[in-house]
Amino acid sequence: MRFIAYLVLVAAAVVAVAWGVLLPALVLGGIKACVVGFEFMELRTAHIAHRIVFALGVAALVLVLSLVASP
Amino acid sequence: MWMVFALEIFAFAMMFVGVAYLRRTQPAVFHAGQSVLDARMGLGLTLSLVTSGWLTAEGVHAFRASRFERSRRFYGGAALMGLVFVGLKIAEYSSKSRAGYGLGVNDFWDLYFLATGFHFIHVLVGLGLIAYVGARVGKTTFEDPETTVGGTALFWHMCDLAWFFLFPLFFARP
Repeated sequence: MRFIAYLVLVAAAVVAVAWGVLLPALVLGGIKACVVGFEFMELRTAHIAHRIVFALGVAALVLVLSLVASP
Repeated sequence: MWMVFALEIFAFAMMFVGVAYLRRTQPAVFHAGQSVLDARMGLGLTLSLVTSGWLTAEGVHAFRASRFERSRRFYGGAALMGLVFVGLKIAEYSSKSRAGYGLGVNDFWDLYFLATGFHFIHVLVGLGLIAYVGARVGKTTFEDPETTVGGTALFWHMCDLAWFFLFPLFFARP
């Protein structure tokens, strides 16, 4: 499972660079953050409240950065 | 350790907002600075960090399974990939410096060197921790193994998370 997570991270990084546009790259960054958080930092075994706070925090960061950076 | 993680991520998040604000308010300056950056270098930096993070996660699991030799190998691999990141970053900073880009040139380069430099310092600290713990796994009895081994990994993953947002903010086009 951790190796699959690693492959997802590599694929997401390559797609983000190939695409090269900010919003998709930020969304992919959020997905990568969730993969690292849930799989590598083992949040998937944590209390559900911690999982929700982490996922919402990542989503909020992507949203705020997208809004602030938008012309 | 989670409190440290939360505070560090908050500090990084404030910096991300600063970069995003610069993108919007000074698009010409930002675009000019961005055109000098090499996205392939950014990809190389990302892949080295991601690989190092995966190896660290494997090292933690091997440690918990009392497979110390295996854990040491994973930590060694993680430290090596961390060193690749450091080497690439030093090469990038040197080439930019030789080309005349640095602090004081304009807002883009100020923010670029401050934000990536702040992240770079975290990588150096994390790399030191990874090397320290990796060299002692199975040879030393840690007073609090979970905090020592798991906490070090948590700090290293935080460097990953910060880079996932720092990278697109500087390298991606609008």
